[in-house]
Amino acid sequence: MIILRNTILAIAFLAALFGCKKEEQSVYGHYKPRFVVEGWIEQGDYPHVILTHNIPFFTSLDSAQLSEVVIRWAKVSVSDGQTTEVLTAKKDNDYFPAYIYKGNELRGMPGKTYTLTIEYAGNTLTSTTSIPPKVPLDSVWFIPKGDGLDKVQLQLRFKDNPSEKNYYKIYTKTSSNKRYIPTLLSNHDDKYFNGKLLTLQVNRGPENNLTVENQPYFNKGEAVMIKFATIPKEGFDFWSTFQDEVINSSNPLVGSTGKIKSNIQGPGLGIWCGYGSYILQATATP
Amino acid sequence: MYTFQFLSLIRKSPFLYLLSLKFAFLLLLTLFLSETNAQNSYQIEGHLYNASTKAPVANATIKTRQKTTSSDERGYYNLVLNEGEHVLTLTHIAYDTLQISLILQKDENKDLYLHPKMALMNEVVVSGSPRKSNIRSVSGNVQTLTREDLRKQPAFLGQADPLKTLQTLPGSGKGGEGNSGFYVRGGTAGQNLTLFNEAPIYNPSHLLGFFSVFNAEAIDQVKLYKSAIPSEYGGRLSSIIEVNSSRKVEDSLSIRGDVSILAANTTLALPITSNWSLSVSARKTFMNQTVWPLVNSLAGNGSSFNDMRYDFHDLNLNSNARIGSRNSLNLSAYHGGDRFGFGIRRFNISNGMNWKNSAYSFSWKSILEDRAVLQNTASYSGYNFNFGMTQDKYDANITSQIRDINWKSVLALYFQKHQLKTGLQYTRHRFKPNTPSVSASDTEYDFGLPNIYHSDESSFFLSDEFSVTEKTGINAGARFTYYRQLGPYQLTNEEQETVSFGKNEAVSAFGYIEPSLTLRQLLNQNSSLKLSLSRNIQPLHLISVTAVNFPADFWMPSLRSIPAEKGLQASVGYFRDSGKDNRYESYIDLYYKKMSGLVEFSGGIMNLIDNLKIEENLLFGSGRAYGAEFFLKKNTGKLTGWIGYTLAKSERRFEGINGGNYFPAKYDRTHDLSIVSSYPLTSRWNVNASFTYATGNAYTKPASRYLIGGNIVNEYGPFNGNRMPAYHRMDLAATYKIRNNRKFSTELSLSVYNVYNRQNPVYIYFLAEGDLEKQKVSIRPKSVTLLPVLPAVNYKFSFK
Repeated sequence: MIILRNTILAIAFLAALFGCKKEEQSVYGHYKPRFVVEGWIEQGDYPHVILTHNIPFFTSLDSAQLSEVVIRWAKVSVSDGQTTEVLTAKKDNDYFPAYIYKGNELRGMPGKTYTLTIEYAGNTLTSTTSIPPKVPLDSVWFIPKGDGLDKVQLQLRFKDNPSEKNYYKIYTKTSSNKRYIPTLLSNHDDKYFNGKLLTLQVNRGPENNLTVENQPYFNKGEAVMIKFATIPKEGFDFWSTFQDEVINSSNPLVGSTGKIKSNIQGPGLGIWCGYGSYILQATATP
Repeated sequence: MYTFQFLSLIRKSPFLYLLSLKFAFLLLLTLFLSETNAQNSYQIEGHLYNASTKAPVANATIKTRQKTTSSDERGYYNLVLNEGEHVLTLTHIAYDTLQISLILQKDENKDLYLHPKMALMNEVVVSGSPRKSNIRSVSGNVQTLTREDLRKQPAFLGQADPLKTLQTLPGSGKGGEGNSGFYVRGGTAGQNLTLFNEAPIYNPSHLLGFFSVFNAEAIDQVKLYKSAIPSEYGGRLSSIIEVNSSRKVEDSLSIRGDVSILAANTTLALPITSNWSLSVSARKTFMNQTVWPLVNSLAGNGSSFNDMRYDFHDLNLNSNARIGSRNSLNLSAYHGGDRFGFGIRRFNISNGMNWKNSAYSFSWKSILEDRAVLQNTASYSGYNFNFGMTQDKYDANITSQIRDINWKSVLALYFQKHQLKTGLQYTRHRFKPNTPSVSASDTEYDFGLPNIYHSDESSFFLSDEFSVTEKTGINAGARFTYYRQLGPYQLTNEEQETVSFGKNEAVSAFGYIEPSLTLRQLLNQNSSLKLSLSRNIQPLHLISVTAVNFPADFWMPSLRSIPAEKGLQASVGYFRDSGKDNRYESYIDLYYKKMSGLVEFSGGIMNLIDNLKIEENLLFGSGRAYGAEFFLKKNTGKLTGWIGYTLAKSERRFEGINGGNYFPAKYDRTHDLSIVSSYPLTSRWNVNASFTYATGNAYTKPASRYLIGGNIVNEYGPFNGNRMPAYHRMDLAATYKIRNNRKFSTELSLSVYNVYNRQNPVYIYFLAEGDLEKQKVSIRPKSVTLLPVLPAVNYKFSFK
C-alpha cells in the first residue's frame, strides 16, 4: 500500500513538474509541487547544496517517503563570476536527507558574489548570494545555570562595525551534534545595536522542530564549537521568517504568518546563503 | 446646615472624606437596624413616558389608596407602599388615564407609558412593562438588556456579564474560546463602538473574553444597535454597544456583593444628601491562587504550555446628583486591569500580557422645558497594553497606548409627531500603537523614536423620528464628521523627500456623512415590518496581529496613506409580540452588508518587535456579509428565556490573498445558536441553563511540507480554507435563596461552566514529532484549549 502510494506520489510529482497541475491538484488537494533548496557557501569552504522537493500533507512520514524527497540527478553549479563549478552529489550521513551536492574547487571569499544554478528535468532554479566580511567575537564565557547550577549558559560579546550593515547568525555544536545547530534566537540585525559592543546570552536551539524537549544550556566541561556568522540580507530575511514559522507558529499569540522569504528563483523555494563564519572552540566551564 | 458644613470639611481632606464615608455608613447602618421591626413596606419607582414620543411625562398624578405622588420633570416617580396588592391610577390632563394593578413583594422599578389623548395609537393597551417594545420603536435592530435579563444566563464563575449575554443574541457572534472579539453581522471585532457612560472602551474584555470589563453590579442597561445606528453615534461599521450605569440618585444605603473561590465583587451605594449619591463597585479575581495552579498541574509535562497565570481587577465609581427639578449630573469612573501570562516549555519562553482600560465621564442633563432636554458629556478614555516575551535575559516588549478626549452635546426635542435629536461631538485621539523595546543581557536595542499618531473628529448630527401615519413611522438621520490626522508627523512624499508636519498641523483631512434611515410599518397591533438602510464610515482600524483576538491587536487611526473603512447595510425585519401581555417577543431580520477599506497587518506580532511604520505594512481589502437572524423570547411565565439563531455568511477579499478571490472571514459563522433559560423550581430555588453552538473558525491548513536544516516546514493551502471543530458548550446554574427579606438577602449559587467538558480549541497548529534519522515522523494537529468543565460556588449578599 505504502509502495503504491509512493509510486503515485512520485509520478504525480514529476507529472506536475511537467505541467499537468490541474489533474494533480484534484488528487492532492492544494499541493503545489516545488523544489526545495538549502545551499550555503562559507568563507574558506566549498559550496554545499541539498536539493529536495516538497511533499503533500500526510499525517505521517515513513522512510520510503523521506528517502524519496531527494533530487539526485540535478545539475548544480556555482559561479563567482569568473569560475563556474559543477557540484558533485555525494552521500553524507551528517545531513538529512543524507545526500548533498558539494564543490571541491571554488572556495568562499568575503566580498564575492556567488550564483547558484540548478537544472533538472527542464526546470531551472537560480539564486545569488554573497559572503559578508566576518566579525570576530570579542570574548566568550559561560555562567552557571540550571536547577542545581550543574549546567552552564554561553555568553558572547562582540563589537558591531558601525560603518557596515551587518546581519548575524549564531550556531553551536557539541560532540552530540553532527551539524552546527542555530541557537534559540539565532538571527540578529545590527540596526538596533549598530556600532555597539553587544553582549548576548545564548541558549542552545533544538536540533530541529521534531523534538519537544530543548536543553538551552551546556553540560559542564563539554567542548563547544561556536560559529558566529555574518550573513547577507537575503539570508537574514529567510532565516528570521523561518524562525517565526518554525518556532512561533505553535504560539497562539504569534501564529503562523506562512511567509518564509525564499531567495530562490524558479519553481522552488529555500535559501542560498553566504556566511562569513568566525569559528571558535571553548570549554563549557564557568 | 450641619450637612453643608460637614461636606465642605470633607472636601478639604481625602482622609476625612474616607472617614466620613465610614461614619455615614455606620450612621445609616444604625438607622436601618433600628427600623427592621417596622412593617414590611417596599418602594416602587420608575419613569413615566409619552408612549408615542418617549418623552418624559412630568406632573402626572400617581394615586393609590394609601398615597398620592406626582412625577417630576424627568418623569420620575417614587412611592413607598405596604406589602400587598395595589392599584396605581395615573392621571394627567394631556394623557389617557392608566390603571395598573400589582402585587408588591419587593422593591420594584417600573417605567410606565402614557398615551396622549387623541393619540394616534390610542387603541393600544398600555402595559406596565418596563421594556420598550421592539415592534413600535422606529429604530433599526436594537436590543436592550436589563439586569433582569442578565440573571437568566448562567453566570460564568458566578459573575453575570452584560457583553457575554449580548453575544447570545442573534447576529452578535463570539469568536470562540479565549477570544474577546465581538463579531456583529459578519463585521470585524474592531467595528464595534463600546461606550461606557459615553466614554469609549477600546478593549472591553477581561480574561480573553471570558468576562467583559463591565461589572453587572455597576450597570443598569446595555443596548446593542446593529442596524441603522442612530446618528447620535457614528464611526463604526458594525454596532454600537451602549452600556450605562444607573442614573438614579440612591436614597438608601445598600451593600451587595458576591464571593467565590475565584473572585470577589462588592458594590456599595451610598446617599450623601437627598439629592446626591455615590456608588462604588470593585471586583477582583484571585485565580492565580486557585484555578491556575490546578490547571497547570493537570496539564502536566505533556503540555506545550506551562505556568499559565491570569488575574484581573476593576473598579467602578458612579455618582448622581439632582440640582433642582430640572438638572441632573452624573460622574462615572472606571478603571480595570488584567495580567496574563504563560510559558512555552519547548523553548523556555515566557509570555506576558497586561492591559488597562480607564474611562471617566461627566454628564450634565438639563430639562430646558417640557419638550427639550439637553445633555452635555465630557469624557476621557485610556487604554494601555503591554506584551512581553522573555527568554532568560532576552526581553522583548511591545506597548500600545490610546488616549481619547471627548465632548458631546445632545439636544432632544419632543413634539407630538416628531422626536428630534441634534448635537455636536468632538473627539481628540492619541495613538501610540506599538512601541518595541528589546534588551539582550545588558544591551538595550535602539528602535529610534516611537510612532505616535494624532487625530480628531468633529461631528454634527441630526435625526428625526416621526409618525407619517398611524402605522408608518420613519426615523431618518445623518451625521457629518470632519476627520483630521494631525502632526507632529513625518512622511516621505512621491519625490522621496521627507515632509514634516508640526504639532496640530493637519496632515490629511476628509469629511463624510453617515446617513441612516428606518421605516417601520405596523402590520397590526402585534407585529411590524422594519426596513433599515445605513452607511457608516470608520476612521479607526483595529489591526489584528495575533492568531486569536488577543488584546495585542492594536488600534490605528486613518492616515494619509490609510483610508477609512466604509460600510453599507440594508436590513429588513419582521417583529412580532404574542401571547397575553406580550409574553413572547420575536423577530426575523435579514441583512446584507458591504464593507471596504478593511485592513490587515502583513506580518505577525513578532514583526512589531521592530519599529516599522505600520502604515507601510498593511493590506487593504473589502468584505461582504449577509444573513438571517431569528429570535424568540419568552418574557413571562415560569419558564423564561430566549433562543437566538443566525444563519450567515461573511467573506473577505484582499489583493494578494487567495488569488484576489473572496475567502471566508475568520469568524464566518454559518450557524450560530444560543439558548438561554431560567426556571424557578420553588420560591427559593431557581435554575438556569444555556447552550451555545457555532460553526468553527476558518483557518489556514498546511497543504504540503518540506525539509530544511532537518526541520519539517509547513506550506499553507488556501487562506481560511478549513474549519476548526464547531464550538459548543452548555452551562448550568442553580441558585438558592437562603434569606430574602427587605433588609438583608443572601443566596448561594452553584454554576458549572462547560458542563460536558467540551474541548473547544482556541487555536490549532501542526506539531511535527519523531526522528528523521530513524525515518519516522508524525505530524499531528494540536489544539490549544483553555477551560475544562469548571464548577464554581458563589455566595451573594445584599444589604439595604
